Amino acid sequence: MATATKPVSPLFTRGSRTPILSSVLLVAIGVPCVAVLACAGIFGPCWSAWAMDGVLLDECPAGRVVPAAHAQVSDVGRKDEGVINVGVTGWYADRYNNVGQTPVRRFSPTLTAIDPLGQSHVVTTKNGWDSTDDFDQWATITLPDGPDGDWKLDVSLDSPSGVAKTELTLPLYVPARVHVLTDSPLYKPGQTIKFRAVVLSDKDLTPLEDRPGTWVVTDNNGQTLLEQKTKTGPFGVADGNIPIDALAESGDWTVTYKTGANADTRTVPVHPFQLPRFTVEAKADKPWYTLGDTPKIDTTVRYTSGAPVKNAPVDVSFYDQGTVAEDGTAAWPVPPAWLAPQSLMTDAEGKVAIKLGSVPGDLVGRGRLGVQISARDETGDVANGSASLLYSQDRVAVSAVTELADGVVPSANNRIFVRATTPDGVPLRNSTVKLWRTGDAEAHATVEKTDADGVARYQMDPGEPVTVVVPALPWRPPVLRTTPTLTVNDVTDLIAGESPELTTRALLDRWATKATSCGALVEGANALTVTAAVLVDGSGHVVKTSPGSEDALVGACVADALGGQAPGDGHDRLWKFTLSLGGPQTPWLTASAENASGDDRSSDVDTLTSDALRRARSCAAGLDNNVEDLGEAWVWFTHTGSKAVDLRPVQLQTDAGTANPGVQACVARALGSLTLSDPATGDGSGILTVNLNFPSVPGYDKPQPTTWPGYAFEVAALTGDKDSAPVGTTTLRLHPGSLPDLRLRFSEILVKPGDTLELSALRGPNFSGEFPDKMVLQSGDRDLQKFDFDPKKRKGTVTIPKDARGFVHVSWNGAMAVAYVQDDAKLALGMELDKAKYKPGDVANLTLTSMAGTTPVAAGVTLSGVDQTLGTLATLDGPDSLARLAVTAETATPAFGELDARALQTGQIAGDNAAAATILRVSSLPAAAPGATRVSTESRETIDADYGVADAFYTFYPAVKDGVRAWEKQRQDSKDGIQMTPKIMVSIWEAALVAHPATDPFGRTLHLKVLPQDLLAFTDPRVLVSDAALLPEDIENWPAYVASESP
Amino acid sequence: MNAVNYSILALCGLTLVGSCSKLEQAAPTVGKNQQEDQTVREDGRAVDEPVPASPAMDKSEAMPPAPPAGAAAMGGNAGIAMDGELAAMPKEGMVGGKFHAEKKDKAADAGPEAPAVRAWFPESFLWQPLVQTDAKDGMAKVQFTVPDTLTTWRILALGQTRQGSQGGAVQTFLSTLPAYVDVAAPLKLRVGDVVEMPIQVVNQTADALKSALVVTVTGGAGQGGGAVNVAPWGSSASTVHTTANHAGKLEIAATLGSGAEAIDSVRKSVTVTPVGRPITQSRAGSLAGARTVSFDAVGDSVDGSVSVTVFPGELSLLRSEVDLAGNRGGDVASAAYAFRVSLEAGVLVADNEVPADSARNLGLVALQRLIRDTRSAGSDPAGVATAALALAGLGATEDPAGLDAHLAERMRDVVLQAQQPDGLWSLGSGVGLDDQLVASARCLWALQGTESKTGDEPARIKGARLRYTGALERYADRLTDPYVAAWALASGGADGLDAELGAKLAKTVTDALVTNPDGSLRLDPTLGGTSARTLGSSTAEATAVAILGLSRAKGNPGPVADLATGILGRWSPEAGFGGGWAGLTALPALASAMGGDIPDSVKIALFADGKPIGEGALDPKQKHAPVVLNVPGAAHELRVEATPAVPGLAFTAVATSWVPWTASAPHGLDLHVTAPQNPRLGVKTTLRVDIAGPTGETADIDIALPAGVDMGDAAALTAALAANSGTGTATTEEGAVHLKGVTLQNGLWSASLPVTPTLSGSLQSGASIVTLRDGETYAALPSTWAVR
Repeated sequence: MATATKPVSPLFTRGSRTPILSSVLLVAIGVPCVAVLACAGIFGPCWSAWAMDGVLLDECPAGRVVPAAHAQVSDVGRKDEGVINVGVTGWYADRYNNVGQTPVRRFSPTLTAIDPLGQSHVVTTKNGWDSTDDFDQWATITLPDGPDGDWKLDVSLDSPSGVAKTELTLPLYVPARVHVLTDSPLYKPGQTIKFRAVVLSDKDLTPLEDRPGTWVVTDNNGQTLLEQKTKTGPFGVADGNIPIDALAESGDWTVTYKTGANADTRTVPVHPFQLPRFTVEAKADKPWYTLGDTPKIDTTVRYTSGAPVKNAPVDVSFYDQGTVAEDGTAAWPVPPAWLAPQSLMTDAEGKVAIKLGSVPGDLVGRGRLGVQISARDETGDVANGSASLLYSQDRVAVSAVTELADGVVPSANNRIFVRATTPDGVPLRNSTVKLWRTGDAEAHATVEKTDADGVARYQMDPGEPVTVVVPALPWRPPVLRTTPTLTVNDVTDLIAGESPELTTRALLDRWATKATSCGALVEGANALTVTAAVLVDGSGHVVKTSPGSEDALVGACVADALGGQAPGDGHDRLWKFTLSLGGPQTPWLTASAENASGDDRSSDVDTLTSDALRRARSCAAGLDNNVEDLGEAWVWFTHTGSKAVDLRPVQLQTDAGTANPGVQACVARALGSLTLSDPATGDGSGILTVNLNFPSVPGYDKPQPTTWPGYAFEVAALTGDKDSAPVGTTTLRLHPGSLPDLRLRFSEILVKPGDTLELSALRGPNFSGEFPDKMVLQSGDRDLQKFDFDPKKRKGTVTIPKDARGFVHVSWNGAMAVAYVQDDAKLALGMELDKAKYKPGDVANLTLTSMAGTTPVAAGVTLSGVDQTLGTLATLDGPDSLARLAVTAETATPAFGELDARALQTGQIAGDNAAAATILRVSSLPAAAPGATRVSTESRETIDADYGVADAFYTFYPAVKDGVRAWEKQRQDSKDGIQMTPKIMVSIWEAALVAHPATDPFGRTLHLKVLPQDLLAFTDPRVLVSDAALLPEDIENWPAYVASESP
Repeated sequence: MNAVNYSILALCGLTLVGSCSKLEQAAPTVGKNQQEDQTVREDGRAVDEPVPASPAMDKSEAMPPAPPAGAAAMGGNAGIAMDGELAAMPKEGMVGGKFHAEKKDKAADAGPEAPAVRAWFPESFLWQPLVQTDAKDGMAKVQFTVPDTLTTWRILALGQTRQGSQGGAVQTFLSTLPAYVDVAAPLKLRVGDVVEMPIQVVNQTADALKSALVVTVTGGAGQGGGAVNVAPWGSSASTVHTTANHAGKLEIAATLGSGAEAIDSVRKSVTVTPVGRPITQSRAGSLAGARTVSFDAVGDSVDGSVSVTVFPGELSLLRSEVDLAGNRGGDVASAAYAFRVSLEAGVLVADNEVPADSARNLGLVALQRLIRDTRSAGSDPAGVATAALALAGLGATEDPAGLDAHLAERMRDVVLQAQQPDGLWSLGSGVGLDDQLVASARCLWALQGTESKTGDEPARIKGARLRYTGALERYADRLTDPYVAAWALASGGADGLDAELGAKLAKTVTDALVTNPDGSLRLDPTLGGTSARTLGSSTAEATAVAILGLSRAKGNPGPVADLATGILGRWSPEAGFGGGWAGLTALPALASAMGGDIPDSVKIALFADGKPIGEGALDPKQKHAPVVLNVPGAAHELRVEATPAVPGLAFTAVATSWVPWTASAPHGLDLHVTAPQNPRLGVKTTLRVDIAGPTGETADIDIALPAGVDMGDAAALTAALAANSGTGTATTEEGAVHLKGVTLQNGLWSASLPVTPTLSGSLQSGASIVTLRDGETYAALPSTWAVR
């Protein structure tokens, strides 16, 4: 038996092939060399490993060296140079069964690229391969041209220890924009979601065909239910579908198309629904109303077939939608009368008019009234509709965009864009707008013409800021609650040790309301909590109440109220609960007693009068804190040996007002005859003041005008030129702003390819530095054109390139000028049906046309048809749905509240001033879209030695088991009494190895010593032997035996 | 109820004007196609199918469907069950399946002059992902069929050019009729609902309309109509007293006018869901001769039916299961089984006997449920059992990168990591050894079913098997229970045992087989006590496992064919083979045991209570198509005959009864949903909801409303919640409202919610459920609203 307690020279302890190889090596290098090595006392490294495997090891490995490849690419792309780094790691086992790694130092790389269509391309290096310090090799490579998708780069490294391979996945996709559409905006469980994606190039929005992608569908829990690989077809379209489980939970599902690093997700609700049989369409008869107008909502109720719903009862309710926008101030509160519900009926045409009272004169600013309408047809079916009314104090509305986004710069030449519209936002196009500072004469107004979007441009010195006054909103005092409130909380039945069940709770709640009136004793409108314990016997009689409250008066009131009969259910109960008592929102009286002379019983008088006045809260009912006051006081007297308190009313000589005779009489009755708890020890007197108190209720205080420092301008819009009739006037308020160090400005904002623009630089007072003589026109982060710039004149001109599209800009020193290059060949789709009206089952013929300007053009079109009534349950896609793909800029705060980059790009802005104002509000221009045409990635193969051993072990194990069974049978037949020992087990194992040779990943014979502990446990004699009588009673530790003997 | 006294003649004459022959091939009440309400066009094509492209048109042009054909099939294989009526419904395209009443009245023969019945009411009717316009003229033409809904349709076109421009357009059109009849039917009803079903006639002409109105109800009780007079540009409404008396589809057909004078005809379909708890009885046998089976009445049952299915071989059953498996239950076992069916159906797809989409969709839906239901499967015994069930359903996956493969890998990890060093999977302390051996065998069987298609057994599964084999060796003396022995054999764990022990196990199984009255065999799971319930053992499963075990045992597999017939006897359309492991084991068991040739021409005759009530025939063109015959009512004596008699032909007869739910006691959580007092049609009233529970808890409430109750706008409802209680948000859907995140601030929460009944009658709500954050639930019993 060999032991290996200390290392022996590797030259003599290595694997079986090594001595032979060493001998060969010795012959090859000759005896002199051996002598030199021997003299030097160095027997390593393992030359056989170097010769056979290309690795340098101090000690030769047990078994063979297994090569594993690794590779790393940096910035590789199609037709683009990148760098690849490759290497081979040799995996080996040492004689202690440890697994190690070392670089394989000699190998030859071969690279093969496989495109997404499966075609192979040999990849050559630019200047051959160079070695790195850690024995890897690197080279410059260029991938061939080919389609988008996941490319594979097969790396094959031929080394002395064998060919090592690895594969790199290279997701090579040009950046794209994705648009996902579903066949319906809403689904029922059991239906099928059909979807399609359009994938366009991020660079020029052209369709990307044969572009690989993946459909991913998730349910309402976010679980992925579908992952389906596909690729786009003609016009960059991919489609798919998924059925929804009929038992699916209700919720929002998502449909996502991922391609490269780009994706689009559509969220669709899934739940049971039914479309309404008829609809309620409501619309105000005027777009907006002003002072004195009488709003009317024209409502039509009709079946989806088009037939009117006659004589249908209609219920109408209203709610205040609040202000449109007026310096962020609160909304004008609508008259309460407008909020009263109405019940009406449709006429023979299914129509009904909903009318409101005239717009009152206290209207401030603008606001909206929401209207909800519910109609019922003759079958009892119900349908709902809604409308919104707009009302405006002024006949025009204006908003402004300052070049300096934060406001108007005092005493500077400011550029201000002012947009004038009707109150409902219709631009006052090509009209005249006069602007003058509030307080100045209109004659000093600056007059400008508006453009096609109702925007006028002003250059002005606004002077210094003043106090801007924002008018107060009218006061609509809230309706005050005149009754107290009560809620029951935290009910526990202490005898049962749990909360009563719901039925008992409901009864108990109703019973406890008997104590509601005690809330009138609570001062103010605040809530007072009373903890109560109530013992109720089996017949339901309250045996005892024990209210706990800091306020003895309230506590006593509650105790009285809860006496008598309580909900009974046949057994004793001790309920503990809290009562939250809320006082009414009505005035109340308090008293304050002072001692003037003699015996000081002011404290007692104070308590007595306060309790009396709390009971007499009704004395103050109806008093108003805006008009009423209580100039009322009493003089009190006490007399020696008497409990009586004498009171005499007096009129206070203050500004408190005049005593209210009614209140005075009521208070006199309430105070009646006050009695001290014990007789007075001496005569005394003093003043008792009675005060009127009002609860603090939100909205009860009258609002007042607010102010802030800034600028106020009067604006008058005229129908035509400056002498024409006014449309209306309004006030524009602006905050003060500050000048930046530098501004860049283009001469035009809306441009076309080939146009020439002038770029101007405007310096601020703190600017310092020199201007360059070249500037660069960019689109995203791509340079379009470098152009000359005159540092002295601070101007330059640039011509828009022919292929430029969308937003272009020039940036320098933190300032940026932006212009938008318009597409003059936009796609116009048309649809025409052969009939305007059909019958069910008819075959309809639809003609689809696609034009670019006046020229026919081929287009890929998705058609989706739904019942228009679906729009009452979900938002339907509009014809501009694809336009979001074209939006390349963000507008954090749209100009004039509505003009943003999308409006600019979809052609909704035609005026130069409007475009310039919109550009000022563009908050960011995107860099390149995510995704890349060049990628960096790596791959590293490893050898799982354990797994390899396990695989070999399980294959081999039945042979060992058979061997043990045979041995058992032999022993049972011979009855020789020989029992299983570790040594016998080893012999059976080795015999099985002879009969069924098995090796591990390193080529080593599968001796017991190479097994990891978990597999070794399977070979324990106690596991393998089925007849325990063949096992010795004295058990030898099997793993320890194997470790010791290394069998 | 006398089920056979009603005449199919009357039915045809009253309901399916001009198309009585369709009834012979109508859609099944339980088939998959029936799941989608109103999704079958009158021309028989499923409306979700894309309109096929016409070769004569541009590449992307669409062809309208074929003109409505009187004999158009609607797919499926079961019958329309109607009150007091019997229908024998063979599979689509089958030969036979005739009714015994074959005459039709004149209306039925009215032919093309009668208006087509409007029955296709989709919300989405057109979907063409890509239509290409021509580069020369920029045009493309598309044809489509206008659906039957009278409404304004909206077509959206979104397009892009190769030059990088995008655009869109919207076109709307109206589909209407000068005069029409409409049924204001709800989406769903519950069994027992009695509805005054509104029927409305609308006249959009300048002439007064005088006509006959005929209304019939199938799938429930009700009939009405009469003369109607509608003023010019007017409308009139009437009602038909309608009773939803059993589950399935209730169809209301209304025809304005008659015969060639008919003006409009509409058919609305309502899903009727059962109320109460299902109880089933099943009978089965082979058709070597005429067979008679009888069913007993179930006390208090409110609904019931018998379904007889004749299977020509195991693939015929699989064919049925592709339609049915997705409709059962919502548990892991049902989902796993459905997924397995979708996998096994590949062979039928290859033979074009099952549409590829059907199998794919079944698999996708089942995978949805599996993913949802295994989300929290952990290392506890319940989690491992769930994982094993899921694994058994997932089987060996085709695509290693697929979602099913990912799920299988996760489930495999759960199962493998739960195996103890002694080779068993633990069920916890105090569990019987037999139970543990069975549970372990199931885990191992499920693991082995996921081996790769290349046949290589992964080392870790091999290791699991070896460990389990070791356990069997240890407990060899105790393997005396035939059910345990069957599982030990089926699991593969006994493969490594010596031949003698293996033979002993097989003998233990075969000795315990029991002969059924029809001559088939079964194995009863003999485990007793609570643990048997824990394991969910069933006779179907035990019998299937016996087949699997005996087939795997060395030597003669024994009477597996008779066992297979015994399994078929346990099958029903509603429940399949039953829950748990029954289906998962039955499918492979039948596949391994059933065989033999079936003659091309076999007629099946069915007699109920001694009277002939229907017949069908096997279709030689679709050799795997079963014949399904339905009988309303759950108590019958049935006789089934096959001509010629075929020993290998198996049949099942399953009777299902539904019994009312009983109340449960509050347990610290209580929910009252109080129906409004005297609710009136179309009048807004309030629904009171009260909850009692732990103070400070947050609860979600799902309220199942009666049919036709309108909750209005969800935002308005949330506002109502705020006004009532200050907490919670509401979402609404047809027939339900969900209140989320309400806080029981003082152990109570109450709200009065606005509701408007839009149907009059006696309508039942469903059970409403409150759920606390910790998963504690309480269900309030359904209530009945009498809406006037």
